[in-house]
Amino acid sequence: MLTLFAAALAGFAVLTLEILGVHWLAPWFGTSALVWSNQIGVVLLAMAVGGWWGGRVAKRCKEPLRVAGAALLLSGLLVALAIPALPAIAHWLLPDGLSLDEAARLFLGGSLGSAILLFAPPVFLMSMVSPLLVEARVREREDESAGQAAGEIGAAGTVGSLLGVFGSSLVAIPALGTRPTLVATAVLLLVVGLVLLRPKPRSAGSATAALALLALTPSLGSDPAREAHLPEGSRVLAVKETSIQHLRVLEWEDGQRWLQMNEGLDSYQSVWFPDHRFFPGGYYDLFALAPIYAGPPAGDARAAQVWILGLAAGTAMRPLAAGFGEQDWQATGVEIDSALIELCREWMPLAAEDEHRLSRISGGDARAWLRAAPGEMDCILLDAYANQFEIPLHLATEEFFAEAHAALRDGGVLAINLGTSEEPGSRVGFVDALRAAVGTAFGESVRVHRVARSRNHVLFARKGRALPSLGELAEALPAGAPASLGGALLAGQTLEGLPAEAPFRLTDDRNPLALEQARVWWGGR
Amino acid sequence: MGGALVVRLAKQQGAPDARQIVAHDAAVRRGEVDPLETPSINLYLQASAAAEAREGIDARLAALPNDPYGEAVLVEWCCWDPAYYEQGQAAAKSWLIMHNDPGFTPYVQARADFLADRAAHQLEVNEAGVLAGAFPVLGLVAAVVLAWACQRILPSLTPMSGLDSRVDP
Repeated sequence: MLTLFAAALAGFAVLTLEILGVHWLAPWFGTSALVWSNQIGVVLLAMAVGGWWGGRVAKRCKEPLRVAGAALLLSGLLVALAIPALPAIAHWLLPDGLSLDEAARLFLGGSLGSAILLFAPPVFLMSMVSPLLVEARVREREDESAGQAAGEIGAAGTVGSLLGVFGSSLVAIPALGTRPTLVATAVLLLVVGLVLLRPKPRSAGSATAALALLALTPSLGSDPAREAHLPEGSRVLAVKETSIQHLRVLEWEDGQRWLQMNEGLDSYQSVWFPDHRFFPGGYYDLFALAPIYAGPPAGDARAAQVWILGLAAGTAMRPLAAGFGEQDWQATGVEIDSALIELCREWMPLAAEDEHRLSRISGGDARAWLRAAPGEMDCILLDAYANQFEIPLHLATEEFFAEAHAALRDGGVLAINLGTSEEPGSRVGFVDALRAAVGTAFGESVRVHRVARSRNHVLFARKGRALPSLGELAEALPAGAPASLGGALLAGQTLEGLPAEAPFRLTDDRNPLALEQARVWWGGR
Repeated sequence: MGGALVVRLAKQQGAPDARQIVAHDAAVRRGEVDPLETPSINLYLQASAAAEAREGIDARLAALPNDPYGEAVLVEWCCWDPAYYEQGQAAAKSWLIMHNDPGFTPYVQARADFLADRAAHQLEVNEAGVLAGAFPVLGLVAAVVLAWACQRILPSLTPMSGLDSRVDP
C-alpha cells in the first residue's frame, strides 16, 4: 500500500505543481495561453526525462523504495525553495514602472525561464519515483510481474494526478490560496519522503528535511503577490485568489478604486469612483454610446435590455445610465468568476439605482449564457478581453458574433472593448481581423473608436440598420459628457466599416489570435 | 506638477465638452478652421485638459508615467488624422513656446525631465528584454545543473541503497 500511496502522491504533486505553478506565476507574468503552454510543456518534458532517468537508477540500486523516498524528499526541498524564489526572479527580471505594453514581451521569456528553473527540477525528481516504485514492487513480490506492477503503480499515479487537477484548482486554491497549497504540497512530499527513506536522526536525509522546513519559513509570512507590480500612489485594499485568477483591489489617494487581475501593471479590469457618471479618459465612457447607437426600441414601451458579458465590478452601468438618460432599461451581467463578484460587491459596490437595474449571472461562460438568452436584446457589451492580450478565443470568432447578432433586436448594438498595443492597420492587424469577423454577421454597420491615452478601442456593430453618423452621435451625447469622449467621436479617431482585407480569419475552427498576439509581444510596439 | 498645470490651463481657459470638440473638429474638416492654428490647438489642448480636470486625477497622473507635454501631443494624436500627427506635434510644441506665460516654463521643463526619465526607463526595459530573452536558456542550464546536483546527492541520502553499484540479477 505504501508504494501505491507514494505513486499517487507523486502524481498528485506533479499535477498540483503544474496548475499551481501557473497561478503562482500569474501575479507577475499573467496566465495567457502561452504561459499555460510554457508550463505544460516544461512539466511534460521534465516528466519524460525524470521517468527515463528513474528507470536507469532503478536498475542499479539495491533499495529503490528508499531512493524513491530520497527523490520525494529532495523534490519537497526544491518546491520549498521555489515558492520564495519566484517573486525574487520576477523582481529581478521586470523593472519598476512597467506598462503592459512594455512588459508583454518580457512575460514569455520570464514565464518560460521561471517554469524551467523552478518547476522542472522537482517534477523531474517526482517523475523518477514511478519506475523506482515499480522496481521495488517487483522485487518485494516474487509473484508479481513487471507489467502488473507497472499497471498498478501507473494507475495509482493517475488517480493521484486526478486529485491534483481537481483538488488544486477547485478546492485548494479557493479554500487555502496558491502559496499555502504549495507549502502543504512541499510538506506532504517531505513527510512521505521521510517515511520511505527512513533516515537516521543525524543523517543527510534528516538534514535535507530540516533544510526544507527552514526554506518554507519565509513562505509563511506575508504574501508577496499582494504587492506585485503595485503602481506608485496606490494601496492594496483586498486580495483574493480564485480558481480562475488572482484578484486585487487598489485604492488611490482620490478615493478611486481599481480591480486588477493577475499581472495588472498599469491596467484595470474595473474602476470605481463614487458619484461619478463618467470616468474621463477611460474606455468605459464609450459604453454611453451603445444606447445612442441602438436608439429606443421601436413602438413599444418595454424597458431596453442590455447584456454585459464580462461584468466584473459593473463599471459599465454608470456610462450606460448616462447614455440611456430618461429611457427605462435593465441590465444582465455575466461574469465567469463568481468569487470576483463577491469581492466587487464588498469593495466596489454599485450605486443603488444601478444595483436595482442589474441582474447578475455568475459562474458560467459568456457565450453559453448568451446562447441561452431570450433574445431581442437592445445592446450587448462584450468586455471580457483580459489585460489587453488574454483574449478568450471563443469570444472572438465569426460564429460567436453570429450568435450575438441573433440575440439582438433589429437595430440592436454589439459593443466590444478591444485592448491592443498595435496601431490600426499595422502589423498583425488584430483590430482589422476582429472588424472583419464582426462584419461577417453585421455587414458594413461596424465602427471602431480609438480611445485616446489608452490601448483600448471600442467597436460598435449594429444589426440590420446603418450606423448613426458621428455628428448625430455627438448631438445625442448627454450633457456634461467629457471632452475625452468627444475626442473618440472625431473622424481621425474612428475606423469605418470593414477593412479592405482581413489579415487573418477568426473562426471556431481556426483562431490564430494567441499566436498573432505573441508576434506583437516579441515585436514590441 | 504636470497634471496640476494642465488642470490650471483648463480652469483658466474654460473646458469644452464633448459636443463642442466634435463641432470644432467638423469645422476643421469643412476647411473653416485651420487645425494647426493656435486657437484650434488651444481648444484641443483644453479638451485634453478637461479630460483630466477632475479633482484627484492628479494623483493618478503623478503615479503613472505621464508626459505633461505629451498631453498636447496626445491631443494631436487624439484629434487629427495620422497624416497630421507630425505637424501637430510640432505645432503644439511651438504653441507652448510661443505662449509667453511664465507659468508654462515648469510645464516645458517637466517635459524635458519626463523625456529624460522615459529614456532611462526605456533603456532599462530594453535591457530587461535581453535578459528575459536569455532567461529560458539560463533557466535550462540552471535546471540541468540542479537536477545533476540532485543525482549526486541521492546516493548520500541513501548510503545503504547501493545506488553506486549494479545489482546482481
